[in-house]
Amino acid sequence: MVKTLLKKQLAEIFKTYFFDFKKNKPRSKAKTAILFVVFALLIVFIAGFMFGAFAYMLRDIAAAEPFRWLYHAIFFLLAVLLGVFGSVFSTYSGLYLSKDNDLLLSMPIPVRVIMLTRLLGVYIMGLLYSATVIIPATVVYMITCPVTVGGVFGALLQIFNISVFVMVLSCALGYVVARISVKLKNKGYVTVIISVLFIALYYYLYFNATSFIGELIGNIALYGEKIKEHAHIIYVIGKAAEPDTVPTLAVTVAGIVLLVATMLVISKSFLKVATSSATVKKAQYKQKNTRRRSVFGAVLAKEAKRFASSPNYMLNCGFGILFLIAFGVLFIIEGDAVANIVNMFPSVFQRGFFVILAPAVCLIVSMNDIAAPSVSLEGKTLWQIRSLPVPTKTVLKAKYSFQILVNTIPTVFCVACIIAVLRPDPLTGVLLSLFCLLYVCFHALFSLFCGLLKPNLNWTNEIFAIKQGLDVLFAIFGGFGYCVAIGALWFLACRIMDARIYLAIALAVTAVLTFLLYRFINRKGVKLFEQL
Amino acid sequence: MLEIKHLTKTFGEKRAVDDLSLEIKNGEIYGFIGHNGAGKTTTLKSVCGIQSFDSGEITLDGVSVTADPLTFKKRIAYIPDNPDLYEFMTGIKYLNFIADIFGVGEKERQERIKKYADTFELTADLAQPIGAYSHGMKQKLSIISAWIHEPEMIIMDEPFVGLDPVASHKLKEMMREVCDNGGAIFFSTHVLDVAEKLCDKVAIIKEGKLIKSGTMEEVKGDDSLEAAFLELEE
Repeated sequence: MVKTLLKKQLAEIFKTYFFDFKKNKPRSKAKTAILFVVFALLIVFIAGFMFGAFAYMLRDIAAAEPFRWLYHAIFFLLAVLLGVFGSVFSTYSGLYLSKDNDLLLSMPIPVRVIMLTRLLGVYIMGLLYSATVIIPATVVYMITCPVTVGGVFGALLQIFNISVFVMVLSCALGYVVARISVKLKNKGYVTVIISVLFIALYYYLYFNATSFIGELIGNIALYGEKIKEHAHIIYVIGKAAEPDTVPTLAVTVAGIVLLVATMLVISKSFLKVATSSATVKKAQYKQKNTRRRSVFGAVLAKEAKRFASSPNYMLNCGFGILFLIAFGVLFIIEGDAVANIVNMFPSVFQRGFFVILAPAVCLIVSMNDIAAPSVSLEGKTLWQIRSLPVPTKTVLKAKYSFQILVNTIPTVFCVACIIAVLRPDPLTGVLLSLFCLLYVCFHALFSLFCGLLKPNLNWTNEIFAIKQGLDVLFAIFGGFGYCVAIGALWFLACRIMDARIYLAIALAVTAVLTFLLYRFINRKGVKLFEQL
Repeated sequence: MLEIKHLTKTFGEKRAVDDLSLEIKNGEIYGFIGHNGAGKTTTLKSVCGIQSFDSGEITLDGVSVTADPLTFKKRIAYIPDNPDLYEFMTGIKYLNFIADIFGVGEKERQERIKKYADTFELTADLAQPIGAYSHGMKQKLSIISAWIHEPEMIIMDEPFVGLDPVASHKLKEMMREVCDNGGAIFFSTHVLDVAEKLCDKVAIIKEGKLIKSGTMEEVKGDDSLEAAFLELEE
């Protein structure tokens, strides 16, 4: 029974890798293998670039033998933080809101077995996120320090311990969210606000970590002793990965005990939480005049309502909005320092700085892939829009227009902040603004393009459509790749052309791609949607 | 008048609907019966433009569902067998969404929402999210949304499933009222007693093929509809 349910849960998580929903048939083994390799490469790319570089900065700590535990402890905490951050949004819905809850609960399956299979999804998500930190950290450690059997054992044990702690914390937070949400009226917004605060804290710690690390490396003996004395648990966590017998046993046993306790609490309350309905006061209907909307307005409002109704959707596909605003604010706050650095260079090089800034802003825009899962999210309600007298072009237009609408204002704000602080010449300013705004349109169309090519209408939990589909993966990383390419190519082109000419060429290329995507969506895209 | 001519739809090797032809005239309640998997839902979905078909023609007063789907869809309404509605909307927002799509004026929509929501005792729940509705409430909302633009033809797939006896009775009255006003109803059902009492005409489908159609008397003769159906199914 457990095997069957685990198989179902795994099949659901990795469904798009094995099954082509467009052709309604299983993928070939070769295609499945390619998809997994692409996914693995993306993870390696992120992990390698972000956390590999970070681990490399800390290699001196790993090299200083008496303080190796500090290296392990830092990455343990970072991996746990990232793992919880990555899976906390989906834990509540993954554990309690699956659409097949009623079906499974009606069968002769013990509740703990259902819960265990749900926990597997949480575990995999947490493991994936924390692996992006701990694997490059381990690789850097193995390069820096002599590889021993004990070291390898310690590294494996640390990965296991991290995954256990991530699951414990994710489940605890998911449980708290579940208990709160049955009593909240606007739980979507509350969840988003709490999550945003959590993420703000995370980024505050993350950005301040650099100066902290500099200080730490400079005074490693002093801080090492202080941590050992005042925050002994961090010392124990670090020692556990070396491995050192007593701390290793202590951390592993503590993790397992906490895990068992969490599972006991969740299994006791699972049935109640999973089947409870909100206890908030029932909203009273009052008849009032409503403004009549156009067909496009109505479909656009539907997309907006869909987005605003789901904290998962808002957080996973719209979080870049906050980043755009934060990036703009950061420029205002740290503007003088940035301007001073830029002004140190001759004007011809200063303009080159904007060639890097333009794709940097667009990279943040790429995080908002609202249109990508919007096709999959039609799910079982697809019949609705298909039975109504709405042209398919209008349906698709509403999907990409909503993404454009949501991105435009924060992008304008962000670019305006950059221009206000750095005061480029008018032509560079215009080109920067036009490029970023055109990219907003490009990425909205590209996201929808991915959504149309890789839809998944048969999900049992919206998180599979929002977070785990290939459409979403391609939309985000395709956007990232394009931005990185624009930025990287500048370093080749800067020898032969002025930054403004390069920006104008990038603008023209993006315009052509945007037009091609627009034409594809209005022709082939319409057919693809009608064939779903 | 709805005309279905030589409709054929295959799924892989299987012919779900095989050369089916039917005519539903204005003023008629037309029942569509058959065993599970006989091709009823496929036919109904093809008629309202949700599903493409391999060959054949479907027209409503000469307007083709394939050549001019928007004009066709503006004149019909569809109620599916399972009311998977937009659960992120409240009942009233959903009804306004449907009214917007069909271009129903503000005054008319208010009157109709009040009339039909009162009829199905759903008014007090209109401000609730659809996700919090029971199956029956969703079915009622689906019915109200179908009636909101006063379509000429209403296509329904198992409309009585999930409805309480009072709501079922009211729906039957509303179906008759549509036909009395010159509209038409084409619906599938497994409840043969209801079909016998309510329908002017009936069609029986088996393995995608139409095996009998006509007025109730023509189809059942002196037997009950159930007896006639079982005999044809053997």
